[in-house]
Amino acid sequence: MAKFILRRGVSLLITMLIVSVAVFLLVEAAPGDLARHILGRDAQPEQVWMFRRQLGLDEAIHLRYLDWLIGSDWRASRLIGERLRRLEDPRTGRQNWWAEGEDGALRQWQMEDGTLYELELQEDGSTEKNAAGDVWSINDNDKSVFWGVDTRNRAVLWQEGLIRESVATTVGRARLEYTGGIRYIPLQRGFLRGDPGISVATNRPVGEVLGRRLANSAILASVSFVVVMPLALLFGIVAGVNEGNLIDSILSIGGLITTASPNFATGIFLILVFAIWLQWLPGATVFLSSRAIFENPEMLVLPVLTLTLLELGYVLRITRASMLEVLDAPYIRTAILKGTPYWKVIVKHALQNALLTPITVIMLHVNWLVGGGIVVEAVFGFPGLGTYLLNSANVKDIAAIQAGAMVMVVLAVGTQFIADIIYTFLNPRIRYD
Amino acid sequence: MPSRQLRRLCGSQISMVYQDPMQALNPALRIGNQLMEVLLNHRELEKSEAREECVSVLRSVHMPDPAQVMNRFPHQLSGGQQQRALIAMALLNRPALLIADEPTTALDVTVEAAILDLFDELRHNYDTAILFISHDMGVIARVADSVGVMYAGEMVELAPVNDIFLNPLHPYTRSLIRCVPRVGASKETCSLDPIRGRVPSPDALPGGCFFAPRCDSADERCLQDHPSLQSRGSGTSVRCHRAQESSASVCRSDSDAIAHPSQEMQRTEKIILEVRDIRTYYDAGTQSVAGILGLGERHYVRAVDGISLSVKEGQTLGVVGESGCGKSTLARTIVGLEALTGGKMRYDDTDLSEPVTKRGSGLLSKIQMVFQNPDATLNPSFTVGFQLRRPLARLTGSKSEDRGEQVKNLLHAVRLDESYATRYPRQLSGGEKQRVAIARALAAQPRMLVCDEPVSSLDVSVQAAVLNLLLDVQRETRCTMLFIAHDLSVVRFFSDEVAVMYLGKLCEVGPADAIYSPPYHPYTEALLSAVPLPDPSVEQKRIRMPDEVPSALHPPKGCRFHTRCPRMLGDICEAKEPPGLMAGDGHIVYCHIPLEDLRGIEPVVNQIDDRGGLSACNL
Amino acid sequence: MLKQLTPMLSSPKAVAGVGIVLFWILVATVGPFLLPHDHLTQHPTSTNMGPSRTHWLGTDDVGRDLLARVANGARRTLILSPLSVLVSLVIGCTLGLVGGYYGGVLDEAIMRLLDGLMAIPTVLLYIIIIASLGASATNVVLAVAIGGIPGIARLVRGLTLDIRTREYVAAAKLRGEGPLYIMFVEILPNARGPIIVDAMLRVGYAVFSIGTLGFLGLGLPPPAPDWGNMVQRAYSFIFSNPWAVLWPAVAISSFVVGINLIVDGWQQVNRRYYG
Repeated sequence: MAKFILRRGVSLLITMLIVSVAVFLLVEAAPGDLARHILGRDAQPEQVWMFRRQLGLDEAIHLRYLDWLIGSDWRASRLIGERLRRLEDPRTGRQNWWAEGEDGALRQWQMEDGTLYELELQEDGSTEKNAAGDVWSINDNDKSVFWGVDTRNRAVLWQEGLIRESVATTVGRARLEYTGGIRYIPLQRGFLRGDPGISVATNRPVGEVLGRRLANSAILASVSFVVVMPLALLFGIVAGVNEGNLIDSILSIGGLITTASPNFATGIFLILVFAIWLQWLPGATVFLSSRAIFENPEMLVLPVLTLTLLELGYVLRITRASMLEVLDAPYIRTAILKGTPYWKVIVKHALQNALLTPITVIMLHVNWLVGGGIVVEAVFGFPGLGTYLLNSANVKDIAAIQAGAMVMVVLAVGTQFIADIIYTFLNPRIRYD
Repeated sequence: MPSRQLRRLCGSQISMVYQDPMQALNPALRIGNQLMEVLLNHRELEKSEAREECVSVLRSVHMPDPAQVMNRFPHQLSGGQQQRALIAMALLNRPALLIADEPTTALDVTVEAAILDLFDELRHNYDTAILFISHDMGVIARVADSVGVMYAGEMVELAPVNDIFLNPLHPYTRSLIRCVPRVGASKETCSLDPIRGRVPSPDALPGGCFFAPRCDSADERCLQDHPSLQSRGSGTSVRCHRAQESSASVCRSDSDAIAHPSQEMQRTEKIILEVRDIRTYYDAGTQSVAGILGLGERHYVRAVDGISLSVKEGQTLGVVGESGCGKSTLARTIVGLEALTGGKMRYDDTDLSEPVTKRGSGLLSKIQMVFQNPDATLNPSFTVGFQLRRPLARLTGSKSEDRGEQVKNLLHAVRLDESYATRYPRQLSGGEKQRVAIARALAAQPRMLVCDEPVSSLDVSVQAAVLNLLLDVQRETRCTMLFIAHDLSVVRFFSDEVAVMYLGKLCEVGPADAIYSPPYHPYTEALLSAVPLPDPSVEQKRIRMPDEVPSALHPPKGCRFHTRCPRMLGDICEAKEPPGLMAGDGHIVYCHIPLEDLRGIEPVVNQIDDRGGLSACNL
Repeated sequence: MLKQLTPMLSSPKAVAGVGIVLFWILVATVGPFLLPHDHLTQHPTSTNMGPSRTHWLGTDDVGRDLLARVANGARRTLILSPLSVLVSLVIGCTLGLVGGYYGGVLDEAIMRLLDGLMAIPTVLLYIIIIASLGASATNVVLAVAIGGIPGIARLVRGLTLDIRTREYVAAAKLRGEGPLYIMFVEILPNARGPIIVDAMLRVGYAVFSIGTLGFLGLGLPPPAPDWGNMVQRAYSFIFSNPWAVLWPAVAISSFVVGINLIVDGWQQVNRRYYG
């Protein structure tokens, strides 16, 4: 069994790797250029070019994928020739990257009017600015160049004497700064190490917001899950056992309708009834503090109900069908012909076998549920992962979309994996092999 | 009967054993749990007592290691063991009546024999009446005291077992017995009489006697009046208007059965198909974690593992063996449907090593195949005519305007009306589908026909008709045949030479009559002993083997059969592959036991003569 | 064909489903010609109105007739949904057939890719695709089609794995048929039953998905009415005019329920008649 689970685990890992490449490529391949989007239509070609370069967008695609996945600090560290360290600035709470010299000093560099300065971090968090010595080396093109870390968390390749305006200009929604570099690698630790990069929209690390949004969504999803599963399985079994009766008809037609209604429609119906007509419950979620969910739990009722209705019908129908199939099986006949009481036939012989199918199906269905979650969040304005993704998609915030999407995929695949393990425990054919 | 009362009866007074043991056991519960339930449902017992009782009943059905088996799940037992567990379950409360519904149909012959022995033994030990339902005349002949024959939903004859087989009164019973090849029959000495027509469907029963439309001796009265079941004394009843008059005259004799003189068939000694040490392995993948990345050690199912054979032109080579022995793979390898892993094959002077995708149409048309399953042999989406026209177009190069005529001829050749050309497969019966399949194979005018269990999915009455058709085809076209089957009597009847396979290897090959008499390979001997013969007047020596058949994934070293061989010599069988012993006339036995000792083995099947003595009878 | 469909009349579910779906087809085809109002004309004097004699279902926030818009939206939905299913059918069937028939490394590669695609939650996939390609009718069809490919391919692959071992396929090989003939003539026609049922359900889900995309603002660009974007637009005014949200939402739900009823009834009847 351990082998089975391990095999599943490894194959899911491979799947996720493929998905990460696909998500990365899809988002990157967006024809609507991010630079144009941020800088606006009037941006000069040179500004666009510079902007892309400073975001590291003209690096080779496979390098950028690796930067995003496992971090760019390794690559940059090799180019700079010194260790790179990320430290939190105690005064602002921001994370800054530093190069650690052999002498143990932490440095950043800055170029002004073609002159390179070196900023050394002091004990108190301030920096001491000195002109850099002769750090230049000659590259293949006979240019005198230097790799270092700048003050904006990028590894930069400076060229000696290259003078560009160092004035920061505001174009569109972005601030462009010419610092005399010719190559830029934004420093990040990578998705796997919890740092999926900087959001272009907010100029803040994606990881900061993502965690909070994820927690909100997780609460919504898990409450719904806890509500829906026992209910759906129970209803499915009841419907299956009473096949053809009134109870069965009500449950299965009801299940059909709730599954077939789009979740935004269900959500809106519920709002119409409970928030507008009856005025029992709030029709939207308003988060004034991060603990809002616990302070006003009634906000969660309608979103949870919507998700529940979406999933309830589906699982109910699957469970019912599975129950019917099992009740038809020869071993049920064997049990009846042994003289076993009917309730015992159901509980002891039918149940365990009948639950196998719903569990496999649910695990394929988790994706659907996560997708449903996005829509429900949009309906109720719930500040979860889904709305975060939608907003990011609207402004083409690459790092945010990639990170949000990957987190969702990891969640979906992870749940599948857990369901796999439950399945192996329920199915003796795998457990004892 | 109220359900509460019925429930009390079920499992204690009446119990049941089913056809498919795997399906009848709950896959999610341990065997012990399922067994003990029977006791706990009906008696006030401590769990430990119930457990002990279950173990002792398991022991009495000869379950190996019963205490262990109690803790296992159904999928961890072999088919034979599952059936033993179910029988034990049925016997736990010592029921007055045990209903067995085709309990051995899903099992292999050797396992079937052991289960049938068990029924015989339990009947005496437990003093239980058994209602044994089976379609197999041989099984009935072995287990039953008296036999009821059913047709179209009603009993047509009820009589002691000897009377049913030796002196049947109802024409249907007589026809049934004549459909199956008799003990020791071959195509040279007798023919089979199929029953014409087919069983009426329950919602369209004929007016008079249900069997009248298919009965040779039916008269006006049979077509008008429905006969009732009439007692004829001494435990015999029959439902036939004419049972009185015809009883004596219909008993079959071998001499008048030779309707087709088939001896005129020319015997050439030219070897047309030669197979040298061929191997066909299937990639079973790997179970290891590294396997996901395409690494790790791969396992192979050695379906055919070093077989050498030759077939003479115009002759029939029969291949027998239990399921999983690789006989079908052998057939599929020869026609090229499976890629050869190693070895050489030649047809005439053409190399056969290439799989079917690389064979030219000339070679394809020379060797064609007839398949096992009538329901899968024709494409359900197209008419019979379309499916016959396609091979004509691809393999014969005939003109398209001639093909309508050719389709008609093909249908006539398999004794079907030309109206069948416009029908869809779902409108045909199993036998008719198999005839169309034969016609499709014949369309290419093949010189060799490979038949993979062509009759084993058919009813006995239809079986005879299809076998006769194949014999006719061979007579008319003089084509060579490779005939694969698991039924020893059918193979004996149909073949000139016979090869016996076990786990991908040959046990024995030679002329048909030589295989069925000593010297035997120990496996052939066990098979012959196991096969249920539809004749209560013969006696079979009793040789039984363990149920467990090793997997072809990890076949035993040395002689493949040594793990089950009742005559195992010792270490040599486990260590070395057996040599081929030449027993003369092309008869080869692959065994470590010296030929003289094998010759000394007594025949398995003996005829009981009138005085109760035994005389050898080669099946 | 007609004869095969008659048993469906014995299932009340199927009859109800056919009724609903036929109703919407009728609305989509002739509705726009019969109705008194145009779907784009704005009536500034009567905005956000409930049902009335002049506007049977009411008006939206700029005074457009809701009935005309729902009918016009039906037309768009009923063209785009089957179209997207058709696209996924063509690609999915081909992938499934090739993978199932050839097996081996090719199959492994196809399945891994599809597994990957399947691991992305459907709505997320839509968001990513529309976000990178932009919102337009073509891209909506494309997104929904891509979302449907893995399911169809898996189904067809499973059926192919089963059917390719059938003896009539072996017989076709024995007369030297090529792989294309075997896949598309011997295998595909015999897999049609489950594929048709699946495709039916998928048309329902496509309506569902296109609606969802519209609601999320990723669907067809305005002003053309589409059930989803009608809901989205009216959602901002839900407190003043719930009707404008209700009608398109009911339209989507009822259509999808209708299709599900047909499939349910059809399967029930099939079980009863053919075991």
